[in-house]
Amino acid sequence: MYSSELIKGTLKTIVLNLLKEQGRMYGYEITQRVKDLTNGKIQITEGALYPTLHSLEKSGELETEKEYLGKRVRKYYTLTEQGQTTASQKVNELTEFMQTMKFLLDLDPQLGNA
Amino acid sequence: MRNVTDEEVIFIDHDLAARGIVLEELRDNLIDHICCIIEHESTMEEDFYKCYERVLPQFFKEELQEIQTETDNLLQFKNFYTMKKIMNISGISTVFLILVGAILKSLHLPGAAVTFLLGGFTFAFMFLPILIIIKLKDDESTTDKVVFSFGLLLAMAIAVGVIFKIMHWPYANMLMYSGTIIFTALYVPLYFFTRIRRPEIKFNTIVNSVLMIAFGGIMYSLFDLSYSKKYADQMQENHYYLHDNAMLLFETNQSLYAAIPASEQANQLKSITSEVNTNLEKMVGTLVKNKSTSGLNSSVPELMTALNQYNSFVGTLNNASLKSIDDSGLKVIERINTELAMNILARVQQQLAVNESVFLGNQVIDKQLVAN
Repeated sequence: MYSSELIKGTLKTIVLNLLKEQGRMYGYEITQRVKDLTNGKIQITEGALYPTLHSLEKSGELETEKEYLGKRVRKYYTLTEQGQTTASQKVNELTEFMQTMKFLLDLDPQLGNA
Repeated sequence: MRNVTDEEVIFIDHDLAARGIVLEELRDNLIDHICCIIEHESTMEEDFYKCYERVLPQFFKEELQEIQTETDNLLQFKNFYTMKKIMNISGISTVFLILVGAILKSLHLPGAAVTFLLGGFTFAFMFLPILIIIKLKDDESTTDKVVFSFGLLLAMAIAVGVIFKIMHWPYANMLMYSGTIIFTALYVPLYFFTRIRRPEIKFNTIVNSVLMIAFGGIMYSLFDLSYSKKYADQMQENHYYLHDNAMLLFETNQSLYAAIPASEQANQLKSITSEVNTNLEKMVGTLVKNKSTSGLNSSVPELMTALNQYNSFVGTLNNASLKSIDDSGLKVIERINTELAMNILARVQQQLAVNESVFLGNQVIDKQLVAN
């Protein structure tokens, strides 16, 4: 499992991209989906996920839909139009960052010749 | 798969609230998340409460409130960033407006007052309040936050006072005086004693305290100078000039009374002019004796009554060359400085003498015309 510092810096990108692909998800579903997709290498903590979801909602990247299960309220998150754009930007940014890191850490010597 | 009952949901809700999750939306999220874990990751046999106690610690490192704090921080971060941006813009605007205002003022160009006013208001009501909010959010100790915010509030009071002074608005002196005195006598010692014992900021504390005391002292001395000695001397000289001329005219007028035929109007004018003049001389005497306008309270109504009678009488003479005496300066005479008060009285005295002289001059001309 990767360290929480590494995950924290990429959490917004992970959440936005996942919602872009899946459409509508709730909190627990997001953590489980990430865990499954990465074979448990990335486990999003609830302590990091919910503050991020609330912040993305406030900044207009996400919108929510409530579903009542008895006394329980389940909040489904979907990307807004602005969120779709941000998701693409974040993914591009992270891809470039990873390539630079590869080059910086001398993991992909070919990049230097490109 | 087990199902979390409504009673158990209510229990979780109350427990989360008791653990410091105050944001309802966040609590709803966490309740659903906990319920999902319990439903998917526990057996039917496991006791709900034991299971809940087992699941909960995975949500935090030390205490559950961390999620609430983190959410608050993230929600406020955007505002915080915007506020810093506004503070920077207002800071730059303040510097620009004050500099432009100073240039316009020194070149006597129009728009200086408006520019100063805008600059001052941007500084006092945008830059300083945002700075206080940002400082309060900083990680510094509570004492530092309180002391710093107190200082900024005083700076606001002084800045507003200065703007009011430039614009000649009321309460300017009160704001500047109280702000500067509290700043120098209370804030600087408070700043000094709360920081001096910390070795890493000892030097800065001493330098800043000296600078602030110097600033406070200079501001205070500037306010206290009120008006210059040169101005006072000039005003006094002016008073004597006006007074001496009036006296000369009064003397000449006495000779002219003898040169004109006796009439009721001339007698009345002589008597009423003398009455007003006696009142004026009495007031000048009081001013010279007290060196202040505070002792004039009883004399002002008497003079005003005499002046009203005089102006009514002058009106009955139907002579366009005779002017009614303006009493607006006398109405505020107790609130102005001694030299200015003496000037106002001397001007009234001169107008009296001129009116008398004009009346008598006309009478002399009429007499000569009749004789020819």
